[in-house]
Amino acid sequence: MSAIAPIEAEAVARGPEPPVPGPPSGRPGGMLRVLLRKPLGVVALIVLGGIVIACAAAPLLAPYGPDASSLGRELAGPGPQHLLGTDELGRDILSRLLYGGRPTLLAAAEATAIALLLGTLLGTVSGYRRGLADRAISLWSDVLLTMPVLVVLIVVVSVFPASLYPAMIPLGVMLSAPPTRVLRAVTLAVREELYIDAARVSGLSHAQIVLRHVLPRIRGAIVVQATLVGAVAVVMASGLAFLGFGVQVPAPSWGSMVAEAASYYQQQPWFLVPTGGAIALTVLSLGLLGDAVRDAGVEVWGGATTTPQRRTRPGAHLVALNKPHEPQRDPGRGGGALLVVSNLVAAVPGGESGELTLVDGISFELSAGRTLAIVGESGCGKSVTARAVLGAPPRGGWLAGSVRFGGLELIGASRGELQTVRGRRIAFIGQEPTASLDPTQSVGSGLAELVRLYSGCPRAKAKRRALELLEQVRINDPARVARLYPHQISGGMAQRVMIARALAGQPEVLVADEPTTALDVTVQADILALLRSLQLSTQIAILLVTHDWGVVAGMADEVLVMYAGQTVEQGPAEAVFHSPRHPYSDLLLRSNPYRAAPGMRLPAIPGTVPAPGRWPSGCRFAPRCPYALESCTAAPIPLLETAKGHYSRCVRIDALQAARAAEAPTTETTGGR
Amino acid sequence: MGAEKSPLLEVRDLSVTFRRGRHTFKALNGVSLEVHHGEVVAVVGESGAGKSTLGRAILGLVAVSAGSIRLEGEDIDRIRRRGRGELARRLQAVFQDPYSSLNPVRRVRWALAEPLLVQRLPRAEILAKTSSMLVRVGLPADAAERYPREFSGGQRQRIAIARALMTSPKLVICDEALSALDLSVQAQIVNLLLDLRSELGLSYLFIAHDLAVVRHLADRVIVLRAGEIVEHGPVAQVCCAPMHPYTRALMSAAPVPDPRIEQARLSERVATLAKVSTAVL
Repeated sequence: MSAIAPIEAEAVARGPEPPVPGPPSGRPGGMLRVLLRKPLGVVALIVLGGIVIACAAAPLLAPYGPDASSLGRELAGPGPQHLLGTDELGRDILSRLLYGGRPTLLAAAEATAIALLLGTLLGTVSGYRRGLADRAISLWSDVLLTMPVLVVLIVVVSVFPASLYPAMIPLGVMLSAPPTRVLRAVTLAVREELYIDAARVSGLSHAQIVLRHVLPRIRGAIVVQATLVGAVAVVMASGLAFLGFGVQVPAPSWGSMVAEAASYYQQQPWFLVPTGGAIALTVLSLGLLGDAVRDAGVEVWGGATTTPQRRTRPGAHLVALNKPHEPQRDPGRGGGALLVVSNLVAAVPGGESGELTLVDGISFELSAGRTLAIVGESGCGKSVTARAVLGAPPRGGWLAGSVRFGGLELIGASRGELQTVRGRRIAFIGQEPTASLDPTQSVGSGLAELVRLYSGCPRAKAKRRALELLEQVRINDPARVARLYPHQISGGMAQRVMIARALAGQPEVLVADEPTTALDVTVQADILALLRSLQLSTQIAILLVTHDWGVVAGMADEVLVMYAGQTVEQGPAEAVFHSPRHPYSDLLLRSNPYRAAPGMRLPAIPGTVPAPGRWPSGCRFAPRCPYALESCTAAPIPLLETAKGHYSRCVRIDALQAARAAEAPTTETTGGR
Repeated sequence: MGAEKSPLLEVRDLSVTFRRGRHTFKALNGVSLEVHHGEVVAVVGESGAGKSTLGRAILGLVAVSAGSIRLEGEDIDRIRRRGRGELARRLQAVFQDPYSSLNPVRRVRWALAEPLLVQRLPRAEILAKTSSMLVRVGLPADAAERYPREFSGGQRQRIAIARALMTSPKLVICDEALSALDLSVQAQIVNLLLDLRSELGLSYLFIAHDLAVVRHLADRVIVLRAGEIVEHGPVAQVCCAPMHPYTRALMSAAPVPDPRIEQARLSERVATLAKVSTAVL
């Protein structure tokens, strides 16, 4: 299980390569605007606003005075004259609720304001300054949390019996502990952001940085805390009044009204509904508002939308996507190939049409002992393609097309079928080895567990096999390393362990998604040599995803260049490097400073990779291509074989080759460094 | 050059020690270097070598435990004491992650104006400078009214560069400023840095791990390992004829986009691996 877990976990965690955030439909910064798109948030806001306004305007709205009683109509139920009925003295409940909300809400607001002011101040100071101030403030919050709130309040109320307001000061102080802690944690995270460093480099004082950067960044968290503290404060203020503290008898308050209702419960149960309901409604809408603000904050600043995860594959989509975008072509129609991918499509919900295509008709095949490298920039669909080979759709999305592996179709395969393949026959290693390892398990026991899962062999044998695997990935002292935990080993060592785990099922195909990107160059060289030597000894086929042409040059037999979800060029490595047949590959190779004269401008490609959903019709590279003609944008360009085994999606190859030929002498002179 | 005029940046015997509980860790140990006017000095090394700590120490973001840092012959602490923004006028930084280096809740205009706020410039001047700087780094002037999330990584890095140049500094510390960018965008930013250098006479202390970029941009290279300088010299010498075995290992490990060279190197490493393992078995 754990062999597959990292793959799925990563697939879920990263999903599609993040689309370049173009101007979104809603303008950012509009926290309120996002909030207003949330039905529950809107309802909560309206209810809360309505309650507050109605109580504030009680003298105008209330049908009766707070103490006006109609004789003979005691404890009446709701009716045309008294919408919510009357109490034991025949007073109108609605009117008393409106008047009674004023002291209750005001007291709650007082406590909330004190708690938030104090919490924000202490929380940001604690998180920003750290060190001694942090420790002192944390201790103070801990002390506050141990205080018996009700006892303290009752003491204060008995000293100032006339009103609730004095008691709200200690309540606010005691309620400041949770916001202090939460805002401290949020500030700690914000403090690590580089814009704080940039502000310091610009000479801003700490106070300026907190005011200008930290507070605006954490204001969402402050609002959420306000709703939480507010709800508690309403309950506490009502509770005190319920107990008879801080109330002057005829004047109404929510808490004292509940107390009255409780004592006449036998005669008129209805009396409890409006009185308790007012408190419940207020607290509930505060809670819902808090939830909505938190979600809105995630949407506005987190970038990702909170679209619920959809793992189903709607049939309609499959049919629509399966329509071949172009005539089937050769690279995906294999004889002796181990893995045959044809017309692979991956999409996620989103965009204007309801689905966002991330990978748009990729075909390739992979034979034993060979390495195919998928190259391209981020946002081109490389990683999505790699995960699709394991039958894993992008987060919340679906796959179409075909991935055939040893007589089995992986797209649309059942979970059980995929389990027989993943890890056992197709293994995966990712970019962040340390994050992919279970931190609670030692390297050796994790590996042995995996061996047992795949082979079902006894514990002792699995342990021996685990040590063999560690030796196979050239770990010098396998017995010692087996006892270590993931946080105790370096990134390079962790990647070796990941490779050992990948080898545990003796797979035929290894999918390596940027396996060395996070590693230092010397470690990268070792890991690549290890992969190559394993390939020589086990004939494992490698699908290598990378953005580094240097890694491609050493490892790949065949290269597939992706751009905006499509294959733009595919062919033998040597041919792609020395005579690229697509302007994108050509320019990408030239952008590498290795081939340029030092200190001179590089032949950069203008613009950026278009995000999924913003792909141009016709040639997707045309807007950035120096050779593009008007005809390039007219219709989709097919991927055609231009030389044996060398495919290109370009109609301007002759222009590209002419330009390369004209430049050839200069490339010779500068290329020799 | 250094003989007639004091160097722009002069670091002498710089040490930085981090304390974690009872453990201390020397991130930098007696590092000395100079950056002259208009020069690009690259600092290379692997993770944990102290590259970024060096940059952060010069910027005053980590505490220095020993040694001195002088900017144009004046001690950097004295400049800082003369007033906020004194140092910011001469020394600025571009950081690695363009997603983290811009506050997501603030408009671009606001980010660019920030360094000038400390300089107490009139509002109109700040506005004019913001627009012209955006255009200078290759962004539309109306980018000022947008939020960082509306820009791609490369564009954000342009914004970060624009912010660093607002105070017209003499020295910009680029801490892995290109590492988070895709190849085609990286080339755009390299070009921008080159252009700005020749137009404004900037100097860069260029902290990087990508040797191809360093070879392209730098005049001199400093190789750091475990907090100490193992080799330094002109780029051609360090990259093409490295003296120290560590530098040599670093240079030969950096993959080059040429299958003939790279496959030969890889086969050699695989052969070494095989030799080692037969010796072990």
